[in-house]
Amino acid sequence: MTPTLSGRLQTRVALMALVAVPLTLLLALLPGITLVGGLLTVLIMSVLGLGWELVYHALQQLRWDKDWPSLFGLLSGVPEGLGLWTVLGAFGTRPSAGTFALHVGLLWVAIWAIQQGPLKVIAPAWRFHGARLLERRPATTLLPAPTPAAVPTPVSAQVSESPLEGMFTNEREPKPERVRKPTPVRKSRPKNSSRPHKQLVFGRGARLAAAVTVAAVVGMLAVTNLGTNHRAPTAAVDKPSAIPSTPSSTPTPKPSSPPAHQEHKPQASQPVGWTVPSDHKAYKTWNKNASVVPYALTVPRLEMQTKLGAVGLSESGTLQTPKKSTEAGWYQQAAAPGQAGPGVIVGAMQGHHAIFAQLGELVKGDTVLVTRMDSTTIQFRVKKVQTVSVDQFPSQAVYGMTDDPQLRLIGFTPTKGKTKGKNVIVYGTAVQLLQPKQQS
Amino acid sequence: MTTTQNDLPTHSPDDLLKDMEFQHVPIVSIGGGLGSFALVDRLRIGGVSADDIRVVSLHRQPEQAFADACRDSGMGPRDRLRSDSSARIDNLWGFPGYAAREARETKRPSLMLRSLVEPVLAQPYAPTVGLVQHAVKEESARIGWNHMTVRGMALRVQRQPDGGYVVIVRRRGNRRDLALVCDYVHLAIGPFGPKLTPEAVSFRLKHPYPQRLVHAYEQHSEVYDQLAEHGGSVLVRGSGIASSRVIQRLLEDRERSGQDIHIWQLFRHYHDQPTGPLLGRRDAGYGYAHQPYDYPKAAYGGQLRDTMKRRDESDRIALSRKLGATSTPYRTEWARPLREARAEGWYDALAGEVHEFVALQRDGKDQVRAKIRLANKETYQLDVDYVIDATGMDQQAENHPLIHDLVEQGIADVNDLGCLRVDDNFMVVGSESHSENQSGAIFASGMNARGGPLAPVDSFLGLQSAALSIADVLADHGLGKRLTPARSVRQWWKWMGRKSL
Repeated sequence: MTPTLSGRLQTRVALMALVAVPLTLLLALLPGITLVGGLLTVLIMSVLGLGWELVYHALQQLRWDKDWPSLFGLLSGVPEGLGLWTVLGAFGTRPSAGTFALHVGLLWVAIWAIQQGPLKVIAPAWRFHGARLLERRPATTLLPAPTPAAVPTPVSAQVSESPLEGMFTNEREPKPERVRKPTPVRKSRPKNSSRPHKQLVFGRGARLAAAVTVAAVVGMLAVTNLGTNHRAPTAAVDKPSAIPSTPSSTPTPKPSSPPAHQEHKPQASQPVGWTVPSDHKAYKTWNKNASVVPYALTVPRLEMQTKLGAVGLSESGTLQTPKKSTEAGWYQQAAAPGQAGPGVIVGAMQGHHAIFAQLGELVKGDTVLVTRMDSTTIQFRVKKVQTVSVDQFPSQAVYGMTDDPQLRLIGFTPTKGKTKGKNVIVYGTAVQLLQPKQQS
Repeated sequence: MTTTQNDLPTHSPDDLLKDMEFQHVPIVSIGGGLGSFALVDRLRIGGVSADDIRVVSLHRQPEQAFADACRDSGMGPRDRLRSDSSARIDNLWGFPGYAAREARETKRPSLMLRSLVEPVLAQPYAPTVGLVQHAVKEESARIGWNHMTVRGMALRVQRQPDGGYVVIVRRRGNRRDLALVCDYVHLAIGPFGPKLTPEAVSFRLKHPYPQRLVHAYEQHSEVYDQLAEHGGSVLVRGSGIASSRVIQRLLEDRERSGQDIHIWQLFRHYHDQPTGPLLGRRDAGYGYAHQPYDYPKAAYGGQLRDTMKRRDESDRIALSRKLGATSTPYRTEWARPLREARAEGWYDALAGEVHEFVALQRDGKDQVRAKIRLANKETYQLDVDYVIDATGMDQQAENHPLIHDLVEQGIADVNDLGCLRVDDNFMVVGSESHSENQSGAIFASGMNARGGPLAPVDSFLGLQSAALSIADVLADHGLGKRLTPARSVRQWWKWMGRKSL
């Protein structure tokens, strides 16, 4: 984890761009730090920092083990801060001392803390590559060779070969002895693949993120210059992170249309066919007054089958939710599925393996099956799928008494901060009762 | 050199193939210790299924060999290793480190603070043996280690004509041998046993039951028991990490038992005072050259590692000799007793080399006479009750039948240190095999790859560094995924939640 010079410079540039800039944008929401002034401080800090890294590297050379303890990294913020203060004074853009200490101190501690842990998580190879984010890696020689495979070669001939030569072929001048004494192993190595290639620790996604950040900064500067000084930053901070590139004129999806789950979308237009299994017999009439406790829920379209728990009402009078997001629960104070009235089954749409995550994909005509404790199964047909906000929940339509047996599947997402929770409600009506044939 | 060798089957390969079970897997790791564990962990995190990996191991658990080595050198589960907090073998990312885990378990947040300000303001934190063992056990359960392990001994690694390799395994509790047909082989067999110097070997040839001359990595607790019961004199040979451990144990035993134990320690190079210029000096004292960790930290992933990579083989070996073997940090818990012992006169240090051990009887007691050639060319005879040899582990390739066989087949080559010659990606030089549709190679990590691009290969961090390099090469060839930031963060999150893979 001890840095090399190139590692120092790379880490410094990356963290200033990806940590210091966004943090400054956030801090600009506070009074005292202006956006332009803050970003200017970060820019000067980065440029000076590259110089400081040279100094640290020189100091590191004096240590016999070439180590640079993490405490040094934290404490070097003091001289850097003083230097920055002086330079800002020279430019005449010096903020008040308190603002400066808060801003730069926070940036420094954040950058230092990120290097102690989170950066290792994002780029696991970073600590093994001398704090470099871009590492030059020697090409592997495993690629299929243009020439036929070599017979196992006696390897005694290549004792003095430097395994590293291939790594610097385009940096150093070619060594004449390599041409004079080609070894058997070298012969089998493909010539074209011995060129080194750069391994990007930050892949395409991260570069995209960096690009989005930069775009956000530019956009923000534009917004600040256009808008009024007071409320512009608030709006600007939320905007780029939420929807970085979509144009604002996109129409919002209609409430009744199911939420987009792209992998299932193409088949979402027509109902999934379902036939009665051969070992079951179907009945069009059954005792619709008996309350038989439901046991399991099957949704053929979602290829989902789950046992049902039971839920009641919470103290506030709202429907209880199942304890786990992977469980669905039957509201036991309303009708049982198959009994006249609405049978209500509730489950989470968000969370780890949420049971109703794809509930919105159901369409009219789909089949939903509820197996009951007496081993009969009620087949329901979906009549309607509805997505509503929490505060517009159609209580009457859901819980209101009906003459025939009905089913309500309710998926919920919890309310988190500003985003209101929503419900997906699937209305179903009972078609027939299936009973396993007696096996003699 | 006479070490016991496991006999290779004397049949021809055709006989061997007659009654044999075949399994096809992409990669086989031979060893089953922490070296295999580091690579398998990285591959599993890279998305390789447990069905695609086989580990040939004598042990049930990856930490078993490590635990045995610790026990044999006298370390209990509460004794501290010499490694760093973030050198976390069960955590690819090194974050959170062992200090954080111990701080949570023992409810001592100060440990985390200490690991942040070390080694400047505090003595470096080091995890305990038990902590490491438990953590490895948890992680091996998480990645499904048992599902991947084949318990047995690898008899032979053979190159296939169309690329790839076959590993023949004599399984434990199964009469049929297993042939693992694979593309890639990973060797992490580790040290083959204690390194016995020629004078120790000649002593043992004369005295086949050598309770008087033991090696620090052999089971030798009876020496401590005897000393604690009757007292006596003991010569500790070596100044590395193992000898510091032995000395600490002797000091503790002496204090606990109250017996008169006289300790002699033999240094090859005696470091009396700090060396180097004022600013770049290396701390040393009482014969030991100290460093904050078990190896200079920059050699794991800093300037020293870059230097090492850039050099060619002979320079590498010279540099790693200069940095020295794994050595010991300065620790008050045993440096202070050592200082007192010198003052009280029951600890003596010698600088020189032993050239002969002779057994003798004195007053009805067995003793060992060590003839030592001192640094000033004089010969000194020292009679002691016990000799504990802490000169390291054996790593000579010709002492292991499997690796010796690889060299004989012409697949692998041996470097000047006697270990496998590897390239910068820890691929054994000469082992890559090309064909139309298949590529195969042998990789080596751990002590089998010494003299390669990394100096401290057989440390936790060294094993992980090698695992990352090897897995990157494998990912280039379609086995597993690269560890992109997104995947890395996702997998780390799973690790934090202890979600099994």
